[in-house]
Amino acid sequence: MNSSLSIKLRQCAKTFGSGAPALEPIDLEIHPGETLVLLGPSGCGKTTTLRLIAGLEFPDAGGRVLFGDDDVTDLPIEKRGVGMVFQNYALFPNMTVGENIAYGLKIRKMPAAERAARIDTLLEMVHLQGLGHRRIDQLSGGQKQRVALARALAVEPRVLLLDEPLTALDAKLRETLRADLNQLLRKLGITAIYVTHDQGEAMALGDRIVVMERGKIAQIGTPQDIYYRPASEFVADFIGTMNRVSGVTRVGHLQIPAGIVPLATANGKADQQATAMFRPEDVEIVPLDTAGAEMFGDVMSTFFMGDRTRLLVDVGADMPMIVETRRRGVWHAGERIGLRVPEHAVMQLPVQHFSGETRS
Amino acid sequence: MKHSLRFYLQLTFTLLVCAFLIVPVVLSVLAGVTENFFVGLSSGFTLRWVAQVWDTYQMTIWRSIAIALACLVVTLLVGVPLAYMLARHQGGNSRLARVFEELLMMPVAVPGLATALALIMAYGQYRAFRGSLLFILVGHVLFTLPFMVRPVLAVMQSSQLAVLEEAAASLGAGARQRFFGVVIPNAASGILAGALMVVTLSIGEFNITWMLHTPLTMTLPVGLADAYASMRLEVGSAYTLIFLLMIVPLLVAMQWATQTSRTRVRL
Repeated sequence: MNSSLSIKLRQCAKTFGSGAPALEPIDLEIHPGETLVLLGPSGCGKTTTLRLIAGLEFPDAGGRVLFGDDDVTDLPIEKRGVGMVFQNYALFPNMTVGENIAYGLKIRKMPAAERAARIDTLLEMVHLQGLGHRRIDQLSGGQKQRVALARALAVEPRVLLLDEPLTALDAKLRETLRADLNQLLRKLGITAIYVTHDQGEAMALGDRIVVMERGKIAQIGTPQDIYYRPASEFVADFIGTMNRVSGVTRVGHLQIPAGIVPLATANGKADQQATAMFRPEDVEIVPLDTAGAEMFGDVMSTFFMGDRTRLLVDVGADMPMIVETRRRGVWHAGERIGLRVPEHAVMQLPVQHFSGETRS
Repeated sequence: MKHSLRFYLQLTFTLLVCAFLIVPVVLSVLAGVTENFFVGLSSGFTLRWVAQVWDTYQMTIWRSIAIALACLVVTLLVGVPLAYMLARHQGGNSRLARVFEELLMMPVAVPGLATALALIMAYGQYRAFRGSLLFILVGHVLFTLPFMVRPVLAVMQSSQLAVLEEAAASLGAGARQRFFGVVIPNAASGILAGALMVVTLSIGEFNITWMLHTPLTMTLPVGLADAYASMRLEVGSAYTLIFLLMIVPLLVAMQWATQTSRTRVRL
C-alpha cells in the first residue's frame, strides 16, 4: 500500500439547489492511517461530507479539499485515487467477481497475467478464495460487500471511503464483517473514512468519531471521549442511553426528588438548578436497608436481556430512570429498590450553551 | 384426471376464439399456395404465386430490410444516448424527462397519415430528398424511436445506473469508459428488446410509408397493398406468406429477448 495520506477539509460547505445548506462550512482533518467515522442520523451531512472527500460532490465556493499537500478540490473522483465501498454494493452485474475486482486494474492497463495474480491475492484477503468466476447474482449480501471491498482495494487507493457498507446486511453478518473489516483496516494502515448511523459500528471501527448534527460537527473525539464525555445533549442522547436528572445543587452532590447524585462540580455553587447525566450501566442496585442506597425508586418494568437486565425505575421524575445490571436476580414491578451512582460516572455538560431545542 | 363440465365449456370457448383469430391467417397462407382459391384446395397446390411475387416485388423486400436496418442504426445512435440522458436527469422522473418522453410518443399517437402529410408539406419541395429512401427512413425513425427509448430507459432506471457509474468512476474510469464499459452492457437487455421492436415495426409500417412512398421507394407492406389492389388474390396472399416468414422469427426473438431481460437478476 502507498504511504498513508492525510486529508483536510477547509471551510467546506455544500448547498443543493436553492435549499438550506446540507453542510455548514466545516473544517476537518483526517490523520494518516486512521479510521475516521462520520456518525449521525440521516440528513446530518455525513454522506455529503464523504462525497465531498470522494469527489462525487464539490464544495460551495471557498471550500478546499486537501489530500496531503495536494489541493484536489477541483478534481473529479476518477482523478483522486480513492477506493469506495457503497451501501448497495454497486457491483457490476455484467461482470464476474474476478472481473469486478480487476475493473480498476484494467482501466489502469495492468497486464492480464499480473491482474490474475492480484485478483487471487485480493480474494484471499477478503476470504473469498476460489470464487473469482462466480456471477454477482450468485453471491450472498455479505459476499457481495467483500467483493466490493476487494474491488476498492485492488487499485491501491490512497484513501478508502465506506458509505454505510454494512447497513444492507442482517445483524449477525454485520458483526462478522465488521470484525473482518476492522482487522483489515488495521493491517493495511490505510486512511479510511467510514459513514454510518450505527453507533455500535462507529465505536467498534473508529479511531476517532465525528458526530454530526444538521450539517454541523457536534463533536470529534475517540469513541471513549464521545461516550464518556459527550460535548452536547445531542451527542449524549445519540450515543448510547443516558439518564438525565434535574435537581438542586448542594455541597458535593445534586439533590433530586429520589435522593442524591454525587456531583463534584456542585462544590461552592449551592442551591442552583442543575442537570446531571449518567449511563444506565453505571447505576448500582443496592439493598434498601444499607447505608449505601442514595436514591430510591419503584420498579416499573424489567427486561431480561440475557447478559444483563434492564429496569425502568420510577424516581418521581418525568422520565423513568433506566438501570442496567449484570447481577443475576429477579426484580418485580412495583418493588422498591435502592440505587446509587459512583461519582466518576456522573457527567455534566461542560457549558449549557443554549440550543434552540433538545431532543427527547 | 377428471375435469368438470365447466372446464370443458371454457376449453371449447377458448378454442373457438383461437380458431376465430387463426383461421383468417391460415386461409390467407393457403390462398397463397393454391392454384385457384375460388375453385378451392382441390385445384391443387403451387408455388407459382410465391415465385411471381418474388419476381415482381423482390425489390420491396430488400428495400424494407434495408430501411429497417438503417432505422435500427439511427434509433440506436439517437435513442440509447437519449435514454441515458433522460435516466441521468433525476433518474428519469423529472418533469422535463416525462414531457420529453410524451413528446417522443406523439408520432405513435398521431395517425401516420397526418405525420406523413406534415413531412411532405415541410420537406416535399426538396425533390431529391422527397424521392429517396431517406425520406421514408425519417418517417420510420419518428415512429419507432420511442420503442427504442422506452425499454432502454426502463432498464437504466431499474439497474442503479447512477451508483454503478459512481463506482466505476471511483476506480478511475472516465466518462467514455463508463458509458461503454458499464452503462451499455447493463442496459443490453433493454437495447436488445428495443432493437427487435424497432426492426419489426419498421418492416411492417404501412400508414406513414404509404403516404411517403414513390413507385421507386415502395416497401413491402405498401407492395402488399398494391398486390391486393391490382392482382389476383393468390398473389397478394403469397405476398403475405413471405411477409409472415420474415416477421415471425423476429417476433419469436422479441419474446425471447424480453424473457431474458425479465429473468435477469438485479443487484
